[in-house]
Amino acid sequence: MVHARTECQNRRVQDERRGRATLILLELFIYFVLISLLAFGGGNAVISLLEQISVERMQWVTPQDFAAAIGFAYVTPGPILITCAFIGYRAAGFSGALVATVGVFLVPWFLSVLAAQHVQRYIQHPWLQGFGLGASPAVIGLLGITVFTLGRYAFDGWVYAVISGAALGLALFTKVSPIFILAGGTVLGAVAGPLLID
Amino acid sequence: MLMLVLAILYEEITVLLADTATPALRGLTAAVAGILVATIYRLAKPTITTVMGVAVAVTACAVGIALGISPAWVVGLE
Repeated sequence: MVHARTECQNRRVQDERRGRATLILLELFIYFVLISLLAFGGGNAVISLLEQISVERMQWVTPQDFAAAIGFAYVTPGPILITCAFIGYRAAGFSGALVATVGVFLVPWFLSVLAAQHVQRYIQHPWLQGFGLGASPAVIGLLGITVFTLGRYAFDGWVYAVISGAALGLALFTKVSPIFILAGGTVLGAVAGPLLID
Repeated sequence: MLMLVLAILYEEITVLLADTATPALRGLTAAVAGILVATIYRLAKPTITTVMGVAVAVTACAVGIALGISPAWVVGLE
C-alpha cells in the first residue's frame, strides 16, 4: 500500500518535471522567434532585448553567463544570435539549445528562402523605411543598457574598469581580433581579480 | 556546434573551478562591455547623423535604464 503510494508520488513528480521542462522549451521557442522577428539591422540590434528576456525576465542565465555567451559569439564564426544556443543549453540542456537555435533562425530562414521577392517589395514601403530610420538610433541607445547591466556586474574594482577601457581602445583603434581581446580580459581578470580582493 | 561545445565547457569549468572562474569571467565580462561600446560607436557613426537621432538614442537608453521598460516597446515607440 505504502509502496504503491510512493510510486504514485514519484510518477507525479516525474510528470511535473516533464511538464516544466516542456514549458521551458516552449518558452524558449516562442521568445527566440520573437527576438528573431525584431532583429532588424542584424544580431547586434537585439542584444539588449536578448539580455532583458534571458537574464531579467526569464532568468535562464545570469549576467555573467550572458556576458560569456556574447564573448563566445564574438570568437565563433557566424551571426551573433548564435548566443541563443548557449542560452538554450544553460536553460534546458541539449534540447534547449536545439529549440532556441531553431526558434531564432526559423523565421528569417523562411522569409529569405520562400518569400524573398515579396519581402523585398514590402521592405521598400515608406512605413517600414520610416520604422528603420526611427528604430536604428533607439536600438543603438538600447545597447547602452546592455553595457550598463554588464558593467554593473563586472566592475567590481578598478582592474575590471581598466580591462574594459583597454578592450574598448583595442577594438576601436587596432585590428586585434576580438578573440585575443576577450582572452586577454579573461586572463587578466583571473590573475588580477584575486589580488584585488586580497 | 562550436557554441554548444563552448557552453558545455563553460558549465564544467564554472562548476569545477568556481573560485578561479569568477574573477576570470568578470574580466571576460569587462572585455565584452568594452567591445560592445566599440560596437555602439561603429553602429552609431553612420546611423546617427542628426541631433534628433542622438536624442532618440539617449532617450531610449535613459528610459530603458530608469524605467526598466522592455527594449521592444522602446523601439516600437520610437
